[in-house]
Amino acid sequence: MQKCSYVAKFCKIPKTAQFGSCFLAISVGQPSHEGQKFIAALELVNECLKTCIVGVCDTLQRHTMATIANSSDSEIMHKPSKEAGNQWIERNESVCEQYLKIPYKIKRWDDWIGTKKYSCYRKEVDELYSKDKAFSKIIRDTGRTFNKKLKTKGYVFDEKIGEQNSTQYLLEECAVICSFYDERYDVEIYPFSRNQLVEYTLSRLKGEPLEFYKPLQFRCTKKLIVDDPSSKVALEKIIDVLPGHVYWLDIDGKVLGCNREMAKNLGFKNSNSLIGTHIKIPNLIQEKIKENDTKMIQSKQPCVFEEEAILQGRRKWFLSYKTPVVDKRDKVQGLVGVSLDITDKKDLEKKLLKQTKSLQKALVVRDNFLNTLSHELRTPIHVISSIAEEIHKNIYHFSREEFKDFFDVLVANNRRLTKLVHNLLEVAKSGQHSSSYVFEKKNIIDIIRSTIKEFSTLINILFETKFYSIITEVDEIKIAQILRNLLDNAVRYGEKSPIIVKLEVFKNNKNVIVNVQNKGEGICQIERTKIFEPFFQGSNKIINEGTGLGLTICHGILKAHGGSIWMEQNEGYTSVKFKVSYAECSEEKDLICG
Amino acid sequence: MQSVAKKKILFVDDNQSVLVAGKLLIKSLGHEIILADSGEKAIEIIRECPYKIEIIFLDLTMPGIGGVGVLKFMRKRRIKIPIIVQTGVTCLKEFKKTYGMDIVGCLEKPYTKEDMAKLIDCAIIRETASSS
Repeated sequence: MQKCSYVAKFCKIPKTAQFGSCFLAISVGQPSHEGQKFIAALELVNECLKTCIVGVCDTLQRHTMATIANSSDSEIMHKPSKEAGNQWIERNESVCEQYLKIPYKIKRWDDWIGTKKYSCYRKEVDELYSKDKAFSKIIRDTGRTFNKKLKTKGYVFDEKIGEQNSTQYLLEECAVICSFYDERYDVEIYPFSRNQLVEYTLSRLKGEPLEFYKPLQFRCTKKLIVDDPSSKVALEKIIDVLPGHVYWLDIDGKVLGCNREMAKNLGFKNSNSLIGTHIKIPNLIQEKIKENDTKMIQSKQPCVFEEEAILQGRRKWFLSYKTPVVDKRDKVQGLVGVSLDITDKKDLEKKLLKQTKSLQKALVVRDNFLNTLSHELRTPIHVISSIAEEIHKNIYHFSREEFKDFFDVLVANNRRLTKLVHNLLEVAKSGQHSSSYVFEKKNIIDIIRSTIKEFSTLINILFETKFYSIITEVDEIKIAQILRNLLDNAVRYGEKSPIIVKLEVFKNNKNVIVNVQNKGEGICQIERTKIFEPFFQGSNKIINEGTGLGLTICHGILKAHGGSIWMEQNEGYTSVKFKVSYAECSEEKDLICG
Repeated sequence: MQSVAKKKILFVDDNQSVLVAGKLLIKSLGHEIILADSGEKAIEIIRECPYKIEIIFLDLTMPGIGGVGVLKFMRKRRIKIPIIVQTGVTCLKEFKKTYGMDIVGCLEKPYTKEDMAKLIDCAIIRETASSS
């Protein structure tokens, strides 16, 4: 049996961890899934697991192969992708037999996509893709990144073909991974990180926030094999296996020696190619590192720095331990440095800082919300309880007129309280996930007309449109609720002038904008950004009887529709506009009806 | 439950219904009431007759200068009328830190006539102590 020159270890957990079953995913064509590195992975599996499924993801690659061939028909690539799978098995079946000491089974991609279960999941995934905007966005974004990588490798293909194939690739992968989920492996083992798509699919279709599907990443490193540990060759090999960058420079910053990891990260084949050169990193960063080196050389003391560098286009952070090298006369001749990659830690720090800031912000928002809510609830309760108690105690002390006045106040406050509670529940509902909405294809013009009718006895409303039908996929009740809230505001703030409802259709991006316009004092620029926050009521409070939640509800509903809402103001008119996307529209002769 | 002496009370709140309820409760306690529906109006009244007003009921959350604006004005002018703060907001920690010395007490809405009477009594005691 051939001795493996690599050793594999998990990236984030100790090698001593023990699991039951695993799924070892093989991307056919990946160098890390062949030869010595594959053997190292099998040895790792032996140590940490009890059973293993070697999943050969061969025919999934037909979509990528089609993109490379600039063809939109992935199926013609089924045969070559299967053939690539056959060849992989030919090369590696005996390797598995030789090195895997635990019960295992080799399964191929077609073994999954040929099942009934796959067909069911595929249907669900396709449905999710057509209905869930967040999901379709992740698919598109992941596909784009994927195709960008192919282009950087020099492949030339049509954007649309690439998008179509990558979408099929990802939808198929998501459906198969749902089948994996049912097979309940303890872990998936894969040398790369999985995209967020998998997690999203499983959490949407399986309804769990998944700890389960977090693949265990592993890395292979060369084993240290030396015949004479005291030789120069051994020393070179030793520094090659040390983690991070090891280097020694002369007083001018020229490289005298370094390990393989450093050469590799700087884009050199081996460390010899770097000797005698100056390390080149983009300007500003280079200056900072030079400054650190000078500081350390002047102090003649070992120093530790956090240093930033751009290596092969990627921003990285290193923790550098640097020591001056001095001669017998105590003159500094150069330096020795070890720089450890702390990019992950730095990214995590940044992420944590960002999260902490947003949490603090959320806490302030929550406190403000609770304070205002407390004020809004306590005030009518206080009025009702004070007046009711007083009347109850001194029922014979009041005149008929006084009774009427008190009851007017009681009824008004009771109504306000009821409306507030109702709107609070609506705010909570509007902020729910879009899955709680009933989306149907509806003509938005019909929804607008019937809602306008409800207000016809109150005020004159003009509805301007040149369209006969605009089919949108919306929750009819919720869209009517938005319009009702906007018309209600327009009546309240519109100085009794007619309200105009207009439609603007943008055919290029298939958006329809509904504009509810009224004449009125409006809201100043600063306040305009806050109108969708709960309980915001503006400074023109004179005639305000609202709860300050209507626009918050509208905002929540439109968010769930993937739309948006905003306010505009010009020439004495206030317009609140909301936008949703439409599927189709048919025009009519210019039509104005009241 | 009637406080001993009849006092002239300035009752400040931006909510008309709260003013109606305040008037009802204060009158039933046997005091005289002057209403103000904003901090600005309250200042105007205090400016006009600072010696005639004996107690102030002050809402904190109002548009404009609000209750805090009234407190600042009184601090600046060194007007020492006992103030009872009424509010619908629960978190008053910061407020009490800054203005705790200037006020007789806080009434959190909804409060009862009894709560109100107790604080009016406290205000009267404080006023008597400071004038003697």
